[in-house]
Amino acid sequence: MKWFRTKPIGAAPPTPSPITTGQVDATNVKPVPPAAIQFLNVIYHYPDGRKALNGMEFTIEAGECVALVGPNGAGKSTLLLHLNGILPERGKGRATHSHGTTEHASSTGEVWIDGLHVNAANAPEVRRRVGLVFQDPDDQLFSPTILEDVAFGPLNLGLKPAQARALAMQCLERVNLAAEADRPPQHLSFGARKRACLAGVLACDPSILALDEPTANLDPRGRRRFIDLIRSLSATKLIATHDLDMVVELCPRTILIDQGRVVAGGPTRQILADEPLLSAHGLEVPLSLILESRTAL
Amino acid sequence: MGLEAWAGFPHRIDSRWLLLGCLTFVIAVVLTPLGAWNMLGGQAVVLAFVLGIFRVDSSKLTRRYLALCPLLILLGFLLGLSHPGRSSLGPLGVALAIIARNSLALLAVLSLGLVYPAVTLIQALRRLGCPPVVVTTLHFMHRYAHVLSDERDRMLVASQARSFGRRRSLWSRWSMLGNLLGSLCLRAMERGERVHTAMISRGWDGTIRSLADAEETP
Repeated sequence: MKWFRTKPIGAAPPTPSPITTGQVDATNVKPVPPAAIQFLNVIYHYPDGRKALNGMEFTIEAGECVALVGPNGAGKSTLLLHLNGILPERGKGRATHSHGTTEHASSTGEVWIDGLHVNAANAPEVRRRVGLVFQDPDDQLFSPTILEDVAFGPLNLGLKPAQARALAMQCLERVNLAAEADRPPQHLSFGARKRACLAGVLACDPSILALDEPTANLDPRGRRRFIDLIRSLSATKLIATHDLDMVVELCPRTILIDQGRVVAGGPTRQILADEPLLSAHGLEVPLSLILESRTAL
Repeated sequence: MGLEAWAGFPHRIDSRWLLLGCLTFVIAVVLTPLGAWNMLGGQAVVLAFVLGIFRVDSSKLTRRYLALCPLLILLGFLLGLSHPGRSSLGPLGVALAIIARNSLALLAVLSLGLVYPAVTLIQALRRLGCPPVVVTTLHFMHRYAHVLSDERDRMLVASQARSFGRRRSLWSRWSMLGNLLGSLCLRAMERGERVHTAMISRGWDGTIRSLADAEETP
């Protein structure tokens, strides 16, 4: 499998980004910071042979907030799991018996995070840098109390329990859940559980936040609160969602994917106002843009 | 010390002591010879006294006990038919003695679960030196029992919503229950995979660490 060919920590990505053009004096050029996220021709097959990612290729710069949109089954969640190397690693050792045959997941291509090649050797550092917020908070909140759960990441990073506790409390205060610290996750509302998930990820101090359907199943107040929280974070953000109104509000850039490939990418308002493009890929123009265009008329 | 100071005293006892006390009581009950009714009676009095001190909710305790009672009775009668003690006490005597012993042990354990929340008891196990992997497994069982029972309820409601009030035969009901349990097992497995993914993404390397470690080290 190509995925886990060893590259040293900090090795340069194969293509520099952003690309500079024209005549420049090399001595006066500041070193170009690596892209926050870079996918290079990533192909991923599920163990049953289905192709989930089919030559996925894009770049996201540090500090950007980018939306990842597409119909169900487009490969959004699979893509997010590639950000910290979970899926290729899991697929490597997995065997599924189907009709008497043994099948393995397979993955090719390269993913780079902050200039680090995502591979088995770099996985711990990459996982510290990428904070993944899952769609279902019950998947992410597995500890007996919210405080224990938020402290899970810092403890794994090697912090002493007292330091991890203090950091977890800070993060809970940030998401307005300090008063619920000692409560079991199942006793919190869905919105509060979502915020607790975010606190758990923030406690690892990631430079990149990947959010899978952050507003799914939230009531309007919970949704608004969560959107404001996401907006207040300075990390690079990649948001996989069907909530296109939130995309208009939060993300200046949008990547549209379908059948495991990037179909279109560019300024959010341009992509999401393109009705034929959206309808060809199972999406609709968001209501906020429709209302805006009617008001302008 | 005034009466007010004593009022909350039982609940201030370290959960570890109560856990050890419960374990001792269960061992003592199990070791009681069959037919030693006086001794069992004495143990019942001790248990009733402790339940009174801790003000255990008797209706909750009875409900939980009755839910497990059929299992106790079945076990008692199955053992009663083959136990060596049946020559002196008779199969019925042995069965009743086993049911009485098991009932006392079960009531003690159920009461412990009513006095302390499950999380406290699991932490007490950890502080008593129980292996971290066992403690973590218990935590996970407790955490996800709620999630799975919610899923089961949703599946039951969905199934009832499509039965249109038709009375099903016993075979059909058992078949439906089998399908439901099968789906629940598959969902639990998928959930387990997703939880494992979430753990790995926050740096889990197989070592179980807890905030409780700080409180235990002097």
